[in-house]
Amino acid sequence: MLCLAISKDSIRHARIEDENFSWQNIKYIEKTSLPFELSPRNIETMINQFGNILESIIPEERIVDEEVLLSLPVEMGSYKIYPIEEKVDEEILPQYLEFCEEKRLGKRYKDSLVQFYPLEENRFLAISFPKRLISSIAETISKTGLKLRLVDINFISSLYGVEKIYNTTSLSSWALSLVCDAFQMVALMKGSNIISLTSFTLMEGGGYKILSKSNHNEEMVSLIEELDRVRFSPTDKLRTVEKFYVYSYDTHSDYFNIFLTYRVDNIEVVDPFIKFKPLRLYKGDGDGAGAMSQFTDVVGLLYRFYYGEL
Amino acid sequence: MIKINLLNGPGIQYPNKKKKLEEVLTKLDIEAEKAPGERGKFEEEQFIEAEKKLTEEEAKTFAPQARKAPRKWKKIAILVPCALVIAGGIAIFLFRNEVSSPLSRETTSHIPSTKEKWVTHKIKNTETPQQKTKKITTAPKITTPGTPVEEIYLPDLNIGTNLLKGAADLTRKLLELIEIDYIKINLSTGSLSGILNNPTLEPHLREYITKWNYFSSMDVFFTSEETGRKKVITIFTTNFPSQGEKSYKYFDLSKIAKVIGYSAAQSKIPVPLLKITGKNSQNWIDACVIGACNIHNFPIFLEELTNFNINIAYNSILLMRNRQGKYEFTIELKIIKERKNA
Repeated sequence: MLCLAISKDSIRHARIEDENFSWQNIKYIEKTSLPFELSPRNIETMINQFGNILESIIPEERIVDEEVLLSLPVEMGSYKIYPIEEKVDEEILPQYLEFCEEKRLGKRYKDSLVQFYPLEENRFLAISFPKRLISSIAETISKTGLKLRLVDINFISSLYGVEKIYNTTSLSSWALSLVCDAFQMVALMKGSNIISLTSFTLMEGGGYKILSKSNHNEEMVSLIEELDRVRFSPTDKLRTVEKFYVYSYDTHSDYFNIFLTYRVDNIEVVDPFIKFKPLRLYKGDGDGAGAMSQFTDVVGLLYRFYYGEL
Repeated sequence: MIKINLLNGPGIQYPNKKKKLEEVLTKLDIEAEKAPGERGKFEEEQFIEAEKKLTEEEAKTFAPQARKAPRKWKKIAILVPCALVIAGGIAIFLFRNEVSSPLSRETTSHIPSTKEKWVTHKIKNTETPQQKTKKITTAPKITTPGTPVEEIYLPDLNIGTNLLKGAADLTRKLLELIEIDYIKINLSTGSLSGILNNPTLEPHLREYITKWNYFSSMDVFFTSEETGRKKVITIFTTNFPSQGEKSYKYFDLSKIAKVIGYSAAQSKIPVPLLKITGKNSQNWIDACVIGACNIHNFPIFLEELTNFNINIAYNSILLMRNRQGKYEFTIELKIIKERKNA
């Protein structure tokens, strides 16, 4: 089985050769740089190049019908949490949600795959992703003789991974942040339940700009303000959440570096290898916690396979 | 945790309701051709309500959006009372005709209130009425808890402290004489470039540098005329003594970051980054402090740092004006690792 997790400029990939999964069976976890920077604006480049990229990372010793678990970059999609009022009948719920998404996405709606995932407290997380990207990637994988089993989103794979690595279900509240040079994405969690999703960018002289938000409640505002302050006034502990996990694909990012040096009690840079470590592990960006955190998503995929939650 | 699978096709993803891959891929292709879904059996009222809600909320993903107005009102609500308190403070100050302590700038600092309490506490405890009237350059040494650094490291630490003090003195004086382009001072050499505020100040500059406490010898002192203004470039050797403080304490990285944050707050500069540049040595961690500042506050920042006798050996200081005319600085340093089993 192959696990591929894609971010804007690299693919992290792992392979398990044995059908019976065990952590010892992980052959390797590697990273390959993309020859271009992936963004919602250059989907066509990804579609055209994906075959070559795939060929370059698939091992020479092929296994017939080898399964592939894939995670796509979070910034390629769009997200919204809808609270559903009691008066909305169950019968018309699918149409109601689709109508909301159609209004929200406008012209993008017809080119998007739109899914709704039930959350607790009668809420739904709407995810929309470019249809063409998914279908062409699926087609390319199929042509290569592999069998695509799952398409996840890297940030959500990482959420899943962090939940399993750190057993976060016992925490009253926690959050995971993906720190990139261009934006930060934060999911505010209560147990296994997503409460709020927000992406923002920090301004050079202080302050922040919200890029996207869904159910952007007071807790999320307070959390982002605390994160903004960490840059300018080192603090002992974040007050809004019990635990704050952070990871990055831009391992040299200055802001990410703060989390590695300014030790705040309840902030933890994700180390996906605290429970197991494959013998062959990419160390091209160093072997510290900061560099290892970039593999959170691919480890999240491995956990999904391990727990049979595909 | 939700289990996403974008292969499962559109619609509500109730657990355990999955579709076959082939079916999904066909559906994706068909969907791509199809027009947006029709309203069908919608109840008009709910439909209108949902539309109203969506127009009220911002919903575009990864597209910059302005903050909502209420945030501005919140800010105003905070800023107005603050301004009143500050104005009141100034009035009392003028009325009493007292000289304020430089440390009292804490209250008007732009740095948020989450500043380290332990540091503030120490400073407040060491204040005396006399010290309140002194300039920052004579601020009391801050005594810090922690394991003492071994004597063997004292020369390096003292050289670093003297480097900081010397750079602060030099920068402050240069501000009276030149418009600084850059200053670089390391353990053996110094160099600077700038435009004289007045061409007649050239001898004063030369004299100040040669009489500077840490000056050793002049290598280059070059001036040139540029559009009626006199540019000066100089390179000189430096000599920083290894004598000084007899006691330094070990701080861990987190506390060191706080010292830097606190010193920045005290000198009213944006808090710089502490960047670890290498951890290979057994005894040292190579690091640097990188930031931007108002040039008049830079010497104060350096002096604030010297108030902490901790396990940092400063190696070099670079202050330079960038293309936008703003000043940026880099301070290279070594952090001595505490050997717990030593």
